[in-house]
Amino acid sequence: MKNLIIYIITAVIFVVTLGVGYLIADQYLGRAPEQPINFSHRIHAGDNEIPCMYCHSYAERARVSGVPNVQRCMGCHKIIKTDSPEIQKVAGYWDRKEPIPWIKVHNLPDHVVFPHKRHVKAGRKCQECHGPVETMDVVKRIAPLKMGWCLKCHGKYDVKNGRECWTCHT
Amino acid sequence: MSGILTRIKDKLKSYRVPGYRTKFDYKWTMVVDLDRCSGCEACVVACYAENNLPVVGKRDCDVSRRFSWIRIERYVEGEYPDVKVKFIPIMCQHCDTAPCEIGCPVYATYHNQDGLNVQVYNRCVGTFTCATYCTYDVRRFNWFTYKWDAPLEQQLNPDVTVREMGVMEKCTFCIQRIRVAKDTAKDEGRKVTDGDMQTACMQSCPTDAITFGDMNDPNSKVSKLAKSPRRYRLLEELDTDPSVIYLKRVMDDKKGSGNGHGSSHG
Amino acid sequence: MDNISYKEVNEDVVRTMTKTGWKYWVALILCAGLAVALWGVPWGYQIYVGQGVTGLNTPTFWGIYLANFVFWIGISHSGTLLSAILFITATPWRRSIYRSAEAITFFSVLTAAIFIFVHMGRPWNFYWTMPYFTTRQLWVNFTSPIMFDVFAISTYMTSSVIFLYFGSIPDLAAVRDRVTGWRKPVYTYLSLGWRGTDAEWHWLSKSYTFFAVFIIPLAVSVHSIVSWDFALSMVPGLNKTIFAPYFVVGAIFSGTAAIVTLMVCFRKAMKVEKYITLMHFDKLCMLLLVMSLLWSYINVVEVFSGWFANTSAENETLRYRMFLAPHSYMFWLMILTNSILPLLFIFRRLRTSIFVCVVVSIGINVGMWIERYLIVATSLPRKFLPNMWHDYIPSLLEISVTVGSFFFFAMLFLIFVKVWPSISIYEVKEDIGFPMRKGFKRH
Repeated sequence: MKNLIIYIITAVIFVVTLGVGYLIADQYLGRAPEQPINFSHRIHAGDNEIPCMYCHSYAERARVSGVPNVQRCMGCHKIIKTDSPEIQKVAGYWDRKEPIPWIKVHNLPDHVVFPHKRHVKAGRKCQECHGPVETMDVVKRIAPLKMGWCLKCHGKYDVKNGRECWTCHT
Repeated sequence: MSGILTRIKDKLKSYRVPGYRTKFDYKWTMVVDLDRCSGCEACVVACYAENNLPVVGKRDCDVSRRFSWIRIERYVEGEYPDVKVKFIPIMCQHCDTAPCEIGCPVYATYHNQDGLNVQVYNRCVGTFTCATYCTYDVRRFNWFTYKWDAPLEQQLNPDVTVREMGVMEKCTFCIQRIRVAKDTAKDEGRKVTDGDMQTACMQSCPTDAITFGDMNDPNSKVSKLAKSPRRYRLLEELDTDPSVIYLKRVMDDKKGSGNGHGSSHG
Repeated sequence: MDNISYKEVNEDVVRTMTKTGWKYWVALILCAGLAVALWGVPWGYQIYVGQGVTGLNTPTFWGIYLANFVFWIGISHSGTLLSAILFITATPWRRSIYRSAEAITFFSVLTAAIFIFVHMGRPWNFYWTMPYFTTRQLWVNFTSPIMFDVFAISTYMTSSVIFLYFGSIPDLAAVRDRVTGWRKPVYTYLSLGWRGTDAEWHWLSKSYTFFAVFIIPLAVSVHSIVSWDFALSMVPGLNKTIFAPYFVVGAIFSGTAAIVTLMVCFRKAMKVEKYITLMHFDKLCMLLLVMSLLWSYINVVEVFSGWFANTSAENETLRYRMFLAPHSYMFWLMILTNSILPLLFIFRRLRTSIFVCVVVSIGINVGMWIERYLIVATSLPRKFLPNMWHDYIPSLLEISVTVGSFFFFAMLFLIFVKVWPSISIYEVKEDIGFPMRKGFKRH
């Protein structure tokens, strides 16, 4: 009986440790923060089939893909659906000449250099890392964005120097 | 059993191709012409600006915790008025058989495919081994988490990591610029050549004392300069095989003799 | 020891564990408090603020912490030597002291291991030095002497714990049979159901001998590897091929001296003079004498080979170490305590004088600590490029941590004497002879 209690306590500690570790490890996975504008990728990229790089225009030529500026939004929304309250919020930012404080969903630590350009030029689809964004109303992070996850792909496509530290870190 | 062994062997081989230390994509080399160096320390300032080096303040400078990745060593010979001052800028020598690399337990410092001695900040655990083993004293340690005062943090270079405390760092040969140069070259489907990139110290040097380039390219400026008879490398007798080549300053041996070349060569 | 009975041995040993005077509690609380105040709190501060609170600077990246690390590893060799080597050579006088020696081994390795973390810049990432399959697909650098250290010290620590535990099982059972209250279930659990059958004794002696044989090369290798931390560099003053034997000899030397010191304290405090006799001190001091001569020889070789190499860097390091204050004072003090004072042990009368033993053994430990300190703190400030030469002065915090580590060690030892049979009951009984009828005189 005494032994049984000891076993149970050990097992509980073991499970709790593993569980806490699991929760901490993946706390950002599936992160879908509420954005200042209730922007739907499903409507834009899905239903209306706007290409990703129409808005995220730097992805092909720079390290960052670029969050579109308010001008890019207003380019269409001066005319389209101006009566929607969300669009009016965008127009408000435009009138006040303020950027929209978007919340970054796919955030990498500062010591990682991730060039979008290289990946787009290598023919990777946006969806391979970002998931089916065109079906999401609220963008949700589906990739763990951990080093092992990066390396899995680098191994799969046999990237030159793909396993070297300095390729992504400085 | 033997199947497993062959698989392990193949796997190990695959990690070694392209070869470690024998076959470099590039062989970045720096040539410092001491005849041109005037010891103005513009390179030091440029390095501070480019690589987000913290200014540590008076107290830490006193106990030899300066952060300059490149430093001008001054050696004074003789008594006034017959004084000779020699300058030598010393930065990480990017040794091909680097003493620091064998010391790091976690591969935070290692040799990459460009022949550079790379320091990976986020892997560093701070055992100080590399700095202890370094024969040139070029490694710098983040003794504290350094802060930049209010407007100054705006001038930090976004391409370079800001290091936290407990991390070793050193001259990288401006690897962030090499990265950009290689990126551009790759888009154009060629190799990086002279003029594609400059290191910060080279860019700021008013007398063009510092030259940086690819030693694998026989037409590059450094390859030509490296053939100079004035060529030597620092502490070469230790067999660290440095990538920094110094061109010896031609000095008069004796006052008024006018022929100082004899001992200055070689 | 003929006039002691089996029962008396059991009672004496259990008495050291159960009868606790107020002096013990004062000593324990003092040690624990000072360990926390001098080591724990400053270390916490150092982790929070950064290594900058130490006196380290750009050429001198290793300082007093590394000296402490090597010192404590050195102390740990006492237990191995006394216990394992003397066990294999069947030396009878080891019996009453080896248990404490093994405990010293474990505690000092533990202290040394903590010092690795103390000297690290980012100790919270220490697990990166462990080779395990990570999602990052990263491996450790097997060519690094620091990596050798990780393996050597963890293996050594594990083996010394097992060695200590195996040797204690019959004693734990003896204690189990005598104690009452909360101790009873604890020792029942610890003694693993020992009943003292022939088979049990057989397997115990087998496994104990195995570990005794196993641990000797391990101990030698551990300290050789610790020396390679320094010797594999190119720094003048560290780059010496003699370092491995030098460190091993120094380790055994300082370890034995530590045992002598601790035995004197233990013997006085616990009133066990009949088990730890002057004969033991006599033998230990002979060992100290031999080790001192060996150490002196290697020290001469080290200095000579540096001088003989006659490179400017080596010469400067030697000059800095031997003839420039303040390090020259330390150097010659070290020579006095480690090479000259132990020569007193040539005389038998001085070997059996507790006072001389204590003075010389404490002197040796001070000297050996200085040796480790000098190796680190006089080589690194004088590396190859004179422009970067900079002296190293330990900060108050480093000194406080150093002092605190001694209290930490004392605290562990104080706890040990209360929870563990600190004199081997069953091996002491081997010295006593069989219980005979009254009046029978054993020859």
